[in-house]
Amino acid sequence: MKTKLLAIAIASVFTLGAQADFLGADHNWNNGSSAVKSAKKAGKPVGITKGVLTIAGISRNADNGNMVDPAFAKTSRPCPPFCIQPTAPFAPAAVETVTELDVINVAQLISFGDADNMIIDARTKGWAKKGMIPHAVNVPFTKLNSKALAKDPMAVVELMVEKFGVKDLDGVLDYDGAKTLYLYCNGSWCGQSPAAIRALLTMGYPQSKIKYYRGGMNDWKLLGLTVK
Amino acid sequence: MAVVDILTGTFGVKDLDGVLDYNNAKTLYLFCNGSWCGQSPASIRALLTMGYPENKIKYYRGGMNAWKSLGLTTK
Repeated sequence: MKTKLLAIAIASVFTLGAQADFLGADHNWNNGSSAVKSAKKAGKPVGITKGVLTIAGISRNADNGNMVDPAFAKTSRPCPPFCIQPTAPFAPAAVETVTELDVINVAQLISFGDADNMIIDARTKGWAKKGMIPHAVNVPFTKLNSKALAKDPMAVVELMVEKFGVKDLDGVLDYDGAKTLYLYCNGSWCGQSPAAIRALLTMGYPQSKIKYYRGGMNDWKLLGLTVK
Repeated sequence: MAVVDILTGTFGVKDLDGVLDYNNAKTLYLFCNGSWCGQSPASIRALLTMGYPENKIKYYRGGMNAWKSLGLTTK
C-alpha cells in the first residue's frame, strides 16, 4: 500500500512538468505496485504506460484479446471528403500535433481543477453523445468554422469569451487569459477539428494555445481507452 | 561492427577509418506496428547513440496499425 501511495505522489509530481514526458516508456517506478499485480490475474496488464493503469479515470480495456469497436474499424471512407490529414495541416501556423499521452496529461490537470487547458470534442452532437474523451467538452465544429464565422462572427466571439477565457475589450480580443485548447474529432481522416482550428486561427487565437490531437476518437478507441 | 556495416551498407554513412561521416547519410523514416510498439523507437535510440543526425531520423508513430486503419496498400 505504501508503494502505491508513493507511486501516486510521484505521478503527481511528474504531472506538474510540461507535456507528457512523465509518461515516457522508460519510467518503471511503479512496477511492483499492487494495482499491476491485481491486473495480472486477468491477463497481462494493459497500462497507459509502463506501470500506469489509470489517470484521471482513464484506463485501457484490460482484455488482451479485445478488438476495436466495429464503429471505428472502417478503413475506406470516401476521400474526398475524408482525406488523410497532414502532420501539420496548419503550417506555417505552429499548431502542435499531439498524441494520446498529451491529452491524458491534460485530462489529469483538468481533473485536478486546472482551468488553463481544455479538451474540445469538435464533432457534432450526435457523435459526441456516443462517447467522448473523459474531461472533454463538446463544441461542435459547426459553431466554430469558416461558415459560422461568415454567418455570425459575434456568435463565435461570444463562444470564445464564454468558454475559452478570451476577453472582448470593446471589439479587441484579448487572448492573454485564453485557455490552451486540445481539439480532436473522429480520426486522422476527419476534417472537423481542423476546420475549427482554422477558424480559431482566423480569429487570432494564439498558435501556441492550440493543439491538434490528429488521431482523435479512432486512435483513442484503437488503444482501448476509456470513453464517457 | 555489425551495426556500422548496416549504416555504411544501407544508409549511406561513410566509415573513414573508424570515424563515421554522416554527410551523405539518408534520411530514415522508421515505423513498426503502431503507437504502442517499441521496436522502431529502440532502433532510433541506437541510431542516436551512433551519432546519426537527429534531423535525418523521422518517426512514423502510427506505424502499420494506423496504415492499415486507413486501408492503405501493404506488400
